Amino acid sequence: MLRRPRVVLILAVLAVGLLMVLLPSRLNDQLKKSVGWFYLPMIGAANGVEAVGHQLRAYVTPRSSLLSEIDRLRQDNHRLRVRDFQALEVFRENRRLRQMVQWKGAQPWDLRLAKVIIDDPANWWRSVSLDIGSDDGIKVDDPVLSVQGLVGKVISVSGGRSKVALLGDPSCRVAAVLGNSGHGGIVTPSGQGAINRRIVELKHLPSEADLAPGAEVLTSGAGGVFPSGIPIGRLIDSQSYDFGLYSGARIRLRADLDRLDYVWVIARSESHEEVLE
Amino acid sequence: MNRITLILLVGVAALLAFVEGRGLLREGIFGTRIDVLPILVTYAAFRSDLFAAVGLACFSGLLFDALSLNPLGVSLISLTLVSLFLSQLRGLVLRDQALAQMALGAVVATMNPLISLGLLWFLGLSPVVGWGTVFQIAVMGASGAVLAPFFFLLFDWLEEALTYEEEPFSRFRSEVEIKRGRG
Repeated sequence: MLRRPRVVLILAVLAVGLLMVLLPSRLNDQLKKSVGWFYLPMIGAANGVEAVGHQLRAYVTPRSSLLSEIDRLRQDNHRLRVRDFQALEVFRENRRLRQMVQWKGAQPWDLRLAKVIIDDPANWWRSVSLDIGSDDGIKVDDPVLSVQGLVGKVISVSGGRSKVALLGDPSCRVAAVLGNSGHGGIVTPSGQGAINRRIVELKHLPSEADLAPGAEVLTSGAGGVFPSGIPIGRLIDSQSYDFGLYSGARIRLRADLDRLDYVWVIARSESHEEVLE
Repeated sequence: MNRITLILLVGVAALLAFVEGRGLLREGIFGTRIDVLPILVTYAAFRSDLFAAVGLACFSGLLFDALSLNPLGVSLISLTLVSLFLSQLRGLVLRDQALAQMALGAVVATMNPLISLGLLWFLGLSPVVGWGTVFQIAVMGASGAVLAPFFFLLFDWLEEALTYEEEPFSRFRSEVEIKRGRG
C-alpha cells in the first residue's frame, strides 16, 4: 500500500501534468520551447561532432575524386544557370500576361535552406524541427520542400528554430490535384502511414476522377498556403466512399520523410521585384 | 541506489531522449521508433524509491514531449503512472532475475504508449494511428523485453563501480583490550 507522503507526491505530479496538458495550446507551446532550451548544448555538441566527422572525411577522401566532383558540380551549375535564365524569362512573360488580363500576380518563391535538427520521437506524430526561425524570416504556414517534392508546412516558430508538420500529420492537410485529369482532393493522414511514413491518402475526389495508378499528384494552390504545382507523390490505388459519391486514393510521397537532412522553406517575400533582382 | 548512479541515470535519460529526437534511429525497427525511457524508469523504480522513479519520470517525460508534437505533460503523466504501477509490484517481483526484468520491460514499454495515446484521445487530438500501431506497440514491447536486462546489467555494474566497498569486519573489540602501563 502507498503511504501518505507517496500518495501526496503522486497526486501532486499527476495534477501538475494534467494542468500542463489542459493549458491553452499557445501557453503549452511556450512552456515546451522553454523546456527545449535544455537541448541547446546537446544540439551544439552534436553539430560539432558532425562537423569534425565532415573534416575527417575531407582528409581521407582522395584529391582525384574531389576534383572530379568539382568538375561535375561545375557542369551542373552551368546547366542550372542556363535553366534559370529560361525560367526568369518565362516568369517575366507570365507576369506581363497576368497584368494584361488583370490577374493577381503569382508569388515568387524565396527559398531558405534549413537543416533538420530534431525528428519527432513519438510514433504517432510526423514533425521535425529546423535550425532556422523567425530571425530568418520564417513564418507559420510557410511551405517546406525537399528536392524530391513537398515535405510539409511550418506550424510554430521561435527566434532560431521552427517546427514543421510533415505530410501525413493531422495538422498538415494539403489541397492537391491529379496531374493527368486536374481533379482535386485533400491530402490527409493514412492509417497505413502509422508504419510507412511515405503513404498518405487523397480524399474527397469526385467519383468520375481518373485514378490511374502512377498518376502524379501536385499541390493545387487552393487555400493559399501552398503554391500550386509542387509535386507531392504518385497514386498507388483507389477506392470509392459514401456509396460511390466520392473517391479516395493512397499516395506514395515523393519525399522520403525518414531521411530528411536539409529542406527548403518557402518564405513569403514582400515584393516580386526583390526576388527577380 | 547510489546518488551518483541516480545522477547518471538522469543524464542517460536526457541523452537518450535527445538521441530519440535526433533521429539516429529514424527508420526505427520495422518502422517503429523505440522508446527506452520507460525502461530507465523501471530501473529507478526497482533499485531506488518511488520519489526517484517519479522524479525521473517527470524529467524524462518533459524532455520527450519538448521534442514531440505531444502537448507538454502527456509523457510526464504516462511515465508517472508507469512508475506508480511498478512501485506496487516492487515486493512481488524477483527483480534480479533476467526473465522478470524482460517481462517488466515488455509490460512498461507496452503500457507507456497506450497511456499516452489514451491521453491524447482524451484531449481530443487525433494522432496518426491504424492497424500498424498495434504492430508498433508490439515491437516496442519486444524491444523493452530485450533492452531491460541490458540496462539493469549496465546500471548495476555502474552502481557497483561507483560504490565504496564496505570495510571488512574487524576482530578488534575495544572492551577486551588489554591496557598496559600504569594507568
